[in-house]
Amino acid sequence: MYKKRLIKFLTLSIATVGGAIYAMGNTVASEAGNSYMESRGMVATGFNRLLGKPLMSLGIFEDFGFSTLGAFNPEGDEPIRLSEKTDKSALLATYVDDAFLESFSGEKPYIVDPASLNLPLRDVRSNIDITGTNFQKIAPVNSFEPWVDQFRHGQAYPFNPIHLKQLLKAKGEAVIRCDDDKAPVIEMKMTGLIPNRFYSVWGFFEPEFVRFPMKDFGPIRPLGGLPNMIVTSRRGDATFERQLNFCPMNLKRGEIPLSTIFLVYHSNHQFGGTVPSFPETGSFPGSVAHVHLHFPVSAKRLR
Amino acid sequence: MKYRSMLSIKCRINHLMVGSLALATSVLFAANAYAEIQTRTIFASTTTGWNKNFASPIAKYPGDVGIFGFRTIGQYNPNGNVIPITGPLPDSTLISTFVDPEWAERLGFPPEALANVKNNIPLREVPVRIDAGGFNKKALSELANQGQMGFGLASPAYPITLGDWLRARGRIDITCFDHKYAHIKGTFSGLVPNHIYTFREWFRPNGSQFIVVPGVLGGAPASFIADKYGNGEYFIKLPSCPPMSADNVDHPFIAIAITVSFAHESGGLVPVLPLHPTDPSFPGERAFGQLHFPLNGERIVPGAGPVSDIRDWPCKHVRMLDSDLVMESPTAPAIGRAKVLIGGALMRPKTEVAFVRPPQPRVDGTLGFLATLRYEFENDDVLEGLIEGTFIPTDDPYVVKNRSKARFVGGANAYDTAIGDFRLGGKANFETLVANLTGKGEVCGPREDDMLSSN
Repeated sequence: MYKKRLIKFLTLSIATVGGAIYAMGNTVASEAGNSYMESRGMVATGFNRLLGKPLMSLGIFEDFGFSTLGAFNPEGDEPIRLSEKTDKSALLATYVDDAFLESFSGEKPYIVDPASLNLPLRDVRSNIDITGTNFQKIAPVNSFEPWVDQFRHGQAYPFNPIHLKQLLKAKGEAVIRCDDDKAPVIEMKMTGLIPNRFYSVWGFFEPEFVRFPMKDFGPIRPLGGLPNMIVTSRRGDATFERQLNFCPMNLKRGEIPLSTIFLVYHSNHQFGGTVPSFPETGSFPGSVAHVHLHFPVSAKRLR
Repeated sequence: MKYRSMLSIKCRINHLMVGSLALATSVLFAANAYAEIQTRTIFASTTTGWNKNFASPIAKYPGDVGIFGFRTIGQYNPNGNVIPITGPLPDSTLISTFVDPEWAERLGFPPEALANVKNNIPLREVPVRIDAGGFNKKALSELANQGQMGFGLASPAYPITLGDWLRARGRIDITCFDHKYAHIKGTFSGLVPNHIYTFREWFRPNGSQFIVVPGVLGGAPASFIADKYGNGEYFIKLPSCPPMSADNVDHPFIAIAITVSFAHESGGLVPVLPLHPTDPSFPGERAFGQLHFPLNGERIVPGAGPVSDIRDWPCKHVRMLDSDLVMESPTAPAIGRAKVLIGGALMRPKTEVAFVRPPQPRVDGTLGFLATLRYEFENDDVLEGLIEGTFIPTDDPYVVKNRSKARFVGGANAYDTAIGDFRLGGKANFETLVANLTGKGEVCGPREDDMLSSN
């Protein structure tokens, strides 16, 4: 009887500890110079934000974050801020958070074109001609009846409106491996993303000191180098695998923690270079680029 | 009793589901019986631009298009202007940006439109936007060689040679349903690992000033990312059918082309922005055609071959035991005979190392260089590679240690699709002008009866 109780107690304890580790979302293991880490993805509606609330504590950045999505407001020019009370059927729309503008502006304050706000995600404008300056809403590819007009530009299937419920289905897992005799590697698997669309993968680092505003996206880097892009499958799945030039679990002197990895959806079918968007020329996180998943590394999960 | 009734309900539900499934299947079969399905498979030709395989057109298209084509890559010239590629060159040729004046001429751009184009940049060194305005651009090198917060290119980021370029293979399978809509499945191999590829459909437009017009196949983003082995696949739904035979010459949809970006950017629904007011771009500056699928007209260059996953290729270990290479001068090619062990067999190929970029001092005190390495075997087989090298100074001011990596792609005869990665060592003495080269790696090829085993 005593033995049975002991076994039950031990089993429960192991389950509780395991459960706690699992609830933290990260599994870390290391052995003889090799280390391994798993981070479960957290769905997001902004950088370190889900429905307006922080997801993680980012070290010296604490609960810093900004939303990159709003709810479409059919009765006004400005989108409605997402909150935990937002209905899951809400149509998602472009939204630029003041917190981003205050934290990341350059020498001149950023100016957001009001016409780029409150657009349902499928209606975000993209450049359509060789001047590079003609931005239009991209119609579905099947909206062209006769094939003679097929060279007109459309957006690929599927092009259903994107509601909060669909967005919240995203899941993912990131695994980082550092072996003694090999370069560190990250492997990510995601499901429930928006099918057939561009995403990109970024790292947010935690420097020793921070000075606001953080010009040129501050401590954000394309994870694993360029290109850091993903094209999701027709089912909304994606994988990403890259070599890293440091081991996040075993930092060398002078290296800084990788706080979180995040995944950005590019609603305008455009991207370029080492930054997620070009706010100095009117393309903002929230108007064309939207954070969809977070994978905390050194950041502490709040949920 | 309760369990039994539950079981019975479950069984009924199962029967209902099976019944529904059978009904749905029958409906689908019935629908398919009436649907007219046409299929077509096309293998890609590798291209050095658009409808160009070196100097030859890949296809003769109907109407005004004819054999129109343009190049988007050139031969890197360390001593001046880019060299247009007009015919086959060694596979170790370093390729670069090249905006073809023929493109401008046939599409109605005045020659002065190309006055500021950036030709002769090796593809890996195409500048990338690095700031929040997209104004500043910089050439990046491999991230593995950068500090933690540096900007860099994903590994592998070896210099792209003509051999790398021509290794690309592609196949599309088109299924047309009732002449109304189509599915296209593309499978690819030999692409630039981790890079963004875009499908462009090309049209012969009526009433346009342009001879051909690109579209986005199946709608934006019409893109896929090649995996780390250079493989890729993509599935596209089209709201209409492309020509299902080459004889359908009236169809305005004439070709599908696959382009790759080395600026790591997408400017929206068009491949280039030649009329951008402040930052124009042209084909051959940032985006480059690598595979071409003619849909109608007369095909001149056949498909390059089947899609072939490099992971399925048999490989042989290679050890470069020694080679005494004599240089005529510090920058002239070094020539000699090497001792090479391939799959256990000893060979003595003629060896030549020629600098593409002579040694240049780096901030860490080492010297960086780029050189071609060529082995000529007795049976006329050739192995060609590009060395990304580092010379490390020693106590002797004339002697440097060599710590390099080499990549072999292509060559001639039996090695025309071989590929291999090597670590190299050795020393070079710039006083005696004698160098030796050692190293190890492996060479892989799709055929087992190549020279690696037959010599």
